[in-house]
Amino acid sequence: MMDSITQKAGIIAAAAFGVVLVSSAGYSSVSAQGLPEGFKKGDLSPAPSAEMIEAGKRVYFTKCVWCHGVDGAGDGPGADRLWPRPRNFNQGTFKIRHTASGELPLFDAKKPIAGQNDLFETVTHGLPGSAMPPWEGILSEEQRLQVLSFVTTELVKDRKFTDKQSETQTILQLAELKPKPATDESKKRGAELIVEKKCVECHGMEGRGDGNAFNLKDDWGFSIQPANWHKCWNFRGSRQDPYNVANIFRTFSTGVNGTPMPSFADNTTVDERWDIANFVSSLCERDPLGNPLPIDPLTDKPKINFVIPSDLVEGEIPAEIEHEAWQKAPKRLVAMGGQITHKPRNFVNRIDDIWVRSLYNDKYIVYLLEWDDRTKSVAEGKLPWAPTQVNIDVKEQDPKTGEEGSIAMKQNNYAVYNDAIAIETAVKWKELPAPIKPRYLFGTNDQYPMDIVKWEADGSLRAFKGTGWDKDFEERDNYEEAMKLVKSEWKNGRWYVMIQRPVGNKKDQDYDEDTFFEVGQYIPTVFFAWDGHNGDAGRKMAVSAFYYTFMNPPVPQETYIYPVVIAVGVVLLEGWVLTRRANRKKGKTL
Amino acid sequence: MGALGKPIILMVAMYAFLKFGLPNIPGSAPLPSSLIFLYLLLTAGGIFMFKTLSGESKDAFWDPIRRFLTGENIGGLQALRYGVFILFPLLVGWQTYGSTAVSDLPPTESRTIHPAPPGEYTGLSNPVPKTPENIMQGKGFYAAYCSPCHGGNFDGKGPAARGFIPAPANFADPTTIAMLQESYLFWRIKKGGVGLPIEGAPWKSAMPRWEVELPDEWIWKIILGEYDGAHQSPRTWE
Repeated sequence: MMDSITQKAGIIAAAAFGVVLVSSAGYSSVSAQGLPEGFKKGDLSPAPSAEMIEAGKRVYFTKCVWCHGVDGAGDGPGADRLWPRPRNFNQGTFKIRHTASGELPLFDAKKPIAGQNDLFETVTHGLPGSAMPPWEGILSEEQRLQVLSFVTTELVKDRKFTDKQSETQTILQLAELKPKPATDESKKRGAELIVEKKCVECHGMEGRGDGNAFNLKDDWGFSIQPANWHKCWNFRGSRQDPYNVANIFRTFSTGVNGTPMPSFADNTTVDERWDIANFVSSLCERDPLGNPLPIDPLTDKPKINFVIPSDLVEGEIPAEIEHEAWQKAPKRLVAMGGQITHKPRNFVNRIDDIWVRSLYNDKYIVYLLEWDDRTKSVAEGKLPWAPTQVNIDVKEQDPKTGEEGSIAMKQNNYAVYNDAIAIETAVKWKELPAPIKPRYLFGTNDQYPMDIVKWEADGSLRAFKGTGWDKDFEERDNYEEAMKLVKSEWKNGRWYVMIQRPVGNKKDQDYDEDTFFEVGQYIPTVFFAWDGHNGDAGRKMAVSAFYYTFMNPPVPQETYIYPVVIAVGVVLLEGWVLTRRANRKKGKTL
Repeated sequence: MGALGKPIILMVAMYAFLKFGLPNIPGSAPLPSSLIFLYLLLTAGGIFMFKTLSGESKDAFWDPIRRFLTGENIGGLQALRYGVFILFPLLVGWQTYGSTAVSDLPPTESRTIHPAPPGEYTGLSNPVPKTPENIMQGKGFYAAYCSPCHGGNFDGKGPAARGFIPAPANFADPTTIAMLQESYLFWRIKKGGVGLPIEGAPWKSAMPRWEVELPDEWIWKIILGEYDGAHQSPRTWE
């Protein structure tokens, strides 16, 4: 007892001394310049009232405890299946802030104002790209402030939001810093700066998060990966406004506490930071006209169109992506989810979307598949299973938080399998009675099979018949000569794969195992993807829902003729009615 | 123009209500534009019938239209008349183009969202008593097994949900578990998407068949936790 008191007194004395030292040092070297550009000293917020904390406790134990845990250690029953993991509050380490690196975030239980209350904004908007949902509309503003009062006072254990001795607030004045227009010049300077400031070492040459991708850890020893700048809707600090450069500017200025992402406030000027933010934001996926992709408010990710159009080309289908025909081909985003229906499940699917384009000619249809994968994975040696095997023994996960062998600890230590992608189409889809389709997961049975074309990173392209989620694939002998791997390349965190297969011609193919690719029809299509560095193999993979491949027919002449004919008809009708009425009127007056 | 004023105001008011008023009524959702069009058509039909009931009202209704289209000395409306004559055929032509051109929308598919359960899963009552402990335990199981897709908010927006069609059920929506019995949920959780009858489009649902992994007692507890967490109560026949 005595001991601890003297110890505490000692620490306080030392801290006080330290404060004196630091502040005097500050004074001697011109106080204002001690702060990085764009920051100002702020005051700690007052402690929330006991009633707020008590009310917040009730909210916490109905809504938050399931992921963040009874003690706020980020170890609730849901935690092990989430990636990124729920925040461990105990250390007071928060990622998204307006405060300088290492400092506590802004929180004031009486000020729910955007830009002045980091934690309130996090709870309100959630953290896109993670499991943290936006609580706006679920919890009232009051409840959000209450629960945060509880979290900041009771669950943050190693630090104290009101302790003037140990805590400071150096606040980024984001509201006062006017964003720099995203001119070409600014973006160009940003592109140079990300190399100069070594951003590319982690985020990769094209910013797909593929530099040093599997060697980074957060403060708790969990594997963490650099952000992919091309998917701004997954930026945790995007506040549901992914194309807003101010959010990137903020993250870059303050750093991300608890992760290897440092603050660049000390070694960049505000002007340089806007250049970098403008460049990073410009990399985010946009539509062909350069406009931001429309974001679906239900998922906070880009909206999905379930039809993948395939355009007709005359002659050879070009193999170069730069070719005009591919540049003009409509590009569709296919959303991928983890395969969670059957074991082994994939709760941490690393491939969350695929860009698909397609072209066809009189003989073939070619799919161009592009997806971001931070690592090129090719299995070393022979895999212990045959390519046709479905029920293979890969580890799903060991759901123990933080312990050796847990899903998070294992992120770096999976046996590496092949990256792979597959296009699955329904066989005899036209003959099926109207509402029936084979199951999206490898077909239903022999009656409703699936045609599966699978590419693996070892360079193989195989065709299978799927007859059920737990049935091994059946190999299709003479089909593989008909297909061709036009291209497969991994570059700076992205795979580019072009797969060619025949279109239907009824004559020299039998369609008991193959999908008849018919022009002008909606062909049910599913995509599967495997990330070899994530331990994906067999059923442990990413899946899409049912999409449709639609081979655009050459536009029939009627499409243009009918409207013209009808419009002319209406004009004639108008004329007839008018002259009739005019004649009748004349008749009357005469 | 007096006779036409009221119908026009009525149509505008109807459109405003369908488009902006209705979605704000609790428990309602925005209407698709095709449905709004249908309702407006019905409204127009009703107005037309009412206005042409008697000879006088018919004349009062038609006269301004006639005068606008063919009458003389209508002053400033002359330009508008030509506008209508030119725009109308263009509109019809454009509509025709829209209906013959290839659309990039997927074909519509019917899916029975709540197909009838097999006999052995009707009218079962929850054998687990509704105590706070059981509800807490059920919510814990829910957090571990269900929340990755159905979401910590019970709203079907879990992190693993993206990409699936149909999207995981939103339990907070009053048209899901609130209008179902507990035994129905028991059937769905136990048999999953694979166990749906054909009208439920079993090939689409990603719902796992939990009977192979979870004991019945856990499933009943999850049901308790689910209703409690989503602030709903099961439908009963009493």
